Amino acid sequence: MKNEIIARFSNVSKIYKIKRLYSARKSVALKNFSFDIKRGEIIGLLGLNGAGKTTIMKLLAGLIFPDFGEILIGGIKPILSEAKQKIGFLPELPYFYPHMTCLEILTYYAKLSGLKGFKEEVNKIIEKVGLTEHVSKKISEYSKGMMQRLGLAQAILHEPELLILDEPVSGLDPLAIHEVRNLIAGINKDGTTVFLSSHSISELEKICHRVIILSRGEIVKTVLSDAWKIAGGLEEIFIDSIKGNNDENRLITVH
Amino acid sequence: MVYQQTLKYIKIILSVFQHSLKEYCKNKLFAILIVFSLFSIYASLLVGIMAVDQEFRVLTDFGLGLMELMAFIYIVYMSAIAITEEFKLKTIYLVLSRPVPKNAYLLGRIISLFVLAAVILLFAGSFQLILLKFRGFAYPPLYHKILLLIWMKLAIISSITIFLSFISTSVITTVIISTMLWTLGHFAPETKFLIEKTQGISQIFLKFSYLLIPNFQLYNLKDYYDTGLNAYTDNFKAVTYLFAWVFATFGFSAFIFEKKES
Amino acid sequence: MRLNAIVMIKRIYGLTALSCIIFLTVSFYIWQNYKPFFPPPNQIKAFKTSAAQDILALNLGMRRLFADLWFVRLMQYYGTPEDGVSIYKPMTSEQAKAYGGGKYPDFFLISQHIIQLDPYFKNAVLYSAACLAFNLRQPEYAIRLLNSALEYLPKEWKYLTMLAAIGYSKAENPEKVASSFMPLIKEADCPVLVKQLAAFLNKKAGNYANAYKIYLDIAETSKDEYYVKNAIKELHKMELKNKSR
Repeated sequence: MKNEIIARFSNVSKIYKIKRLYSARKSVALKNFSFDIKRGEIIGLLGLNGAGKTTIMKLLAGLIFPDFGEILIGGIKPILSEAKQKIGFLPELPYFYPHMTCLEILTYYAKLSGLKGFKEEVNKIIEKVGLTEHVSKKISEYSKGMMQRLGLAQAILHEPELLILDEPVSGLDPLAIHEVRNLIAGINKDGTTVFLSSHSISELEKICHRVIILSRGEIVKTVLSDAWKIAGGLEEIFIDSIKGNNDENRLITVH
Repeated sequence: MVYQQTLKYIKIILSVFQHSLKEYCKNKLFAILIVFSLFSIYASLLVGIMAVDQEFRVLTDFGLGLMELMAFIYIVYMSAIAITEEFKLKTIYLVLSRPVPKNAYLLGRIISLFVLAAVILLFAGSFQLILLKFRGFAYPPLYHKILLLIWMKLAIISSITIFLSFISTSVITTVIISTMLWTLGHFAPETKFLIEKTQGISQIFLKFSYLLIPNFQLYNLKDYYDTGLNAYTDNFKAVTYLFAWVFATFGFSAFIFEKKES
Repeated sequence: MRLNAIVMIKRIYGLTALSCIIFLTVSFYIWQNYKPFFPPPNQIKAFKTSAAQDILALNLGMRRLFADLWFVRLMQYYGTPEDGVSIYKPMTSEQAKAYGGGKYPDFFLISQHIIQLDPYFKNAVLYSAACLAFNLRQPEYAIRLLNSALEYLPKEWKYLTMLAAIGYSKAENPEKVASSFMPLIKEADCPVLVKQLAAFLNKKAGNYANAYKIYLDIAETSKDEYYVKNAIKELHKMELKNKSR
């Protein structure tokens, strides 16, 4: 069960076409990207800005489509509803309808996820993420930390097997980071696989079992937690990997 | 299994529909337009008084014309931003990352716009009837049918606008093209006249345009409801035409939406 | 999973293809079977600077509404004093006699414009024809107007009745004119001007009973103050005359 593959990328390539007036500029975001996500893991995706982290997240969430290769979640393509039932997604900047309250938003998402008895589920989740005091406030009144917690709440609402988090601690204060980190750890303990991206090395060190280092759309290195503990930190490994992958002929990818 | 899947599909459509309708009704522009349309209908009293013995006719015509125009403005704008605003604000991410079929989401949005049009017309129509009663006039002949046909016109233009929003570059472009189609749609009899008068490439072009532009005169009962002639809109044609346009634009929109990346 | 994707793709393309087929079939059917209800646009002759408004009327599908506006303008035009008559001074007796029967050169053109926009605006036709024939003393224009209206409503008895009344008027038979108006004024939506004319003609023909009934109807039902005041004035006159007998 522990080694069961929950999601698989097989030689995935993604090319963005940036349209101009009479032509289109191609930008390679991912090239021959292959890796597996095992059940029960917390996998981190580490890379510089423009490495392709958000592209991978969106491909996995079925929001964009690969140009080459195949992505499978539990043996199903991410664009299909059956696959989306298994995932929970938190984008880099979660956008909610500003005029709605936390309760209304979560109720709406619960209905969209096909949850029966969603009232109890919604209340449970609100308590879990610590938004009970702010239930009746409108989203427009929420702070960044509260928005992030609400984002996590909507992602775990339907008890997904795989949680996809794109830079979950980006822009948060240290206390909020600590709270979010604990939440993620708690969710993983309940059996949910977590796949998160970040460009904060320290955060990934504290929580992940495995880290994939990404540069210009390619996997440079996969590091297990034991390896960076022995090496005295992930930072040196990351810098060496990135410098080693310096290729001046490649266009900088955009995500 | 099929029954459960269908039920799930319908539940998703209903959820999107409820959410969308609330969003449209809470919009400030909705409140402004409702107030403005009610005020305009009330102001039509002045024109009615100037018309003296034709007050009933003028009040009815003005009221219907104004409510159609106000409803058109709001519905076209809301249709233009229905999906594109979600993409722009990125609120679509958290919807499409869920097990929500894109065509179900689209259908929920479209149905909410249809219901919105009905709400606007019922509200304004009731107000006009109260005003007519206040002035001592009876229920205008075929009033309910006139409103229903106006609603059908709005449903067609709303579906077209949603489709246009997928292929145009901005909201303004979508609204402008929809407005052009609205006016050209009322020009259908004139287009038919021009087809008969022209030849060659011009005629082919006009025939093609005639086929692709919705014929809103089919639904324009408000212009001839009391002529006394047996020329009221054929119900079968009206419903079939509405169905064809809505189904076609939904089909094309769903096709583009499936292919669209978030 | 591949099967699901293939099924999904088939559904999308299938739906699109079905949409095309249904749309083209129905559009073609409607195109073949649609008969325009209103006259073609070349029948609308612009009146002065009305071209833009006329196009707007067509484009918004509001011919009827714009015809109403033009009718209001017609009444205002006919309600304003004519050339040489000041609104600030009382009229001379000649001016008073001619009032309502003056030049008003645009009256026919505006009436015609209303019919071109909405050929089914019956009350405007009756009002204009009555004004032209009996007030403005332009029966030829009245007949022209009625004939063009009859092209769209060939069986409209009110137009035929008005034509008959004009015919009797030309033949200088006031009794026949008065009696031919009677069916018209029984209609609930009969223009008050036509009623007033009917009352006046009945009085002229010596049918005081009929004239009295018509003036009473005007006083009770009309919304136009001018006609109501006039009707009340006439009723007093007739009552006094009756008492003096």
